[in-house]
Amino acid sequence: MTAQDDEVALSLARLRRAGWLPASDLPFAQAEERAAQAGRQVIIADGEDGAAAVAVLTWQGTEPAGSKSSPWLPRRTLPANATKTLVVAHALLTDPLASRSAVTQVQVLAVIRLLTSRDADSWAVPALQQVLPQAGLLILLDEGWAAGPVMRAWDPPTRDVMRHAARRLWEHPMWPVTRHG
Amino acid sequence: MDDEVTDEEEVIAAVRALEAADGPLRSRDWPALADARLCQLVVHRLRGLGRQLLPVMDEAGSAVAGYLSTWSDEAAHDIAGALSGLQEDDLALLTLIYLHWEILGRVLGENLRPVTEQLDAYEGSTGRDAIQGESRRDSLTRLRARQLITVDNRPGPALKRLTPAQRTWLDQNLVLLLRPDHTWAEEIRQSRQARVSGMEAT
Repeated sequence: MTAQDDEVALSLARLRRAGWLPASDLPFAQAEERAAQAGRQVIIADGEDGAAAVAVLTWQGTEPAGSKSSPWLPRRTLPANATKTLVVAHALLTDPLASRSAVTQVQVLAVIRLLTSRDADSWAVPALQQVLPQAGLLILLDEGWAAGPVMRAWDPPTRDVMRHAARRLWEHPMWPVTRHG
Repeated sequence: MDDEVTDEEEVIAAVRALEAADGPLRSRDWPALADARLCQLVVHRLRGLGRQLLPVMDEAGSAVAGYLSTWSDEAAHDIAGALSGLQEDDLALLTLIYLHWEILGRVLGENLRPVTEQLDAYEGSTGRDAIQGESRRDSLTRLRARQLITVDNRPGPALKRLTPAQRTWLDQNLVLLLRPDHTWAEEIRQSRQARVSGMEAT
């Protein structure tokens, strides 16, 4: 392996570690080729609010699914409470009538309280602050939580499932009517 | 020709599975891991991503029970200093937990108190409790989210992904931490300095 090959490999390792990198930090053509040889894909996503484009490491086609029968593939799934928090945060971020680029913790907790009539602080706050950012699904900006690199690189089937879940929340009679943030 | 296509598909399927898996994969499930030639291709593809194939031995240590993928040793050094979202207290807690289970428990075979009691009893250099209450809970949550510890505060599955070279590096760090004035610690410092100088020279 040449020194240039090593540098491409290190770039991809940094990308995997960080979840995203400024696109300019990556030797894109070589990294894309190397990722493709491993069934992965490097995509370029627009930065938030006009920021520089970012590179994200994702999967070719759909993401490998966990399997408990042969071929056995153990995969860690999000805890149920983190999944609930993600569904609510995603629905807030993609609400077509609100045009939000970020949501606050207060907004997420308030929506869960509206939908369930229960406080969710004990489980939604750790999900927002720890689990979802660690999974690359959300990222903390000055104005709140925005779509993280993994959410922005979702494959079409995942995106469809989440859009369907969001649509059901938007149609819920208790979904907040406050618009534009 | 058909066989070559199949082989390529098998290699990519194995690499994808390794990169997604949360635990070791069995070679009987993934043909590319059972075939020496294809396994070399898997190794090569992983290396291209800054990753490497890590055989996991059975309990007796006599046979390969499965495979994981992990950082290559070069990538591990490269990214070790990158921000990981962990704070200083998190790393201190991880060190104490690792010392508790791995060194006191496994290596020295001591009868251990529950790790939470041990953490309660720990006093920092000022004589005050070091990491307590909400701060400790937050740290443990961050460590669990990264699989560095388990829900019962034992060393987590992420530590099983260390290559022999990475485990040696960790063991050396423990020597530097616990016996900084020992001659062995001095040898470690010198060998690391020589390594850094060598890298800078190339």
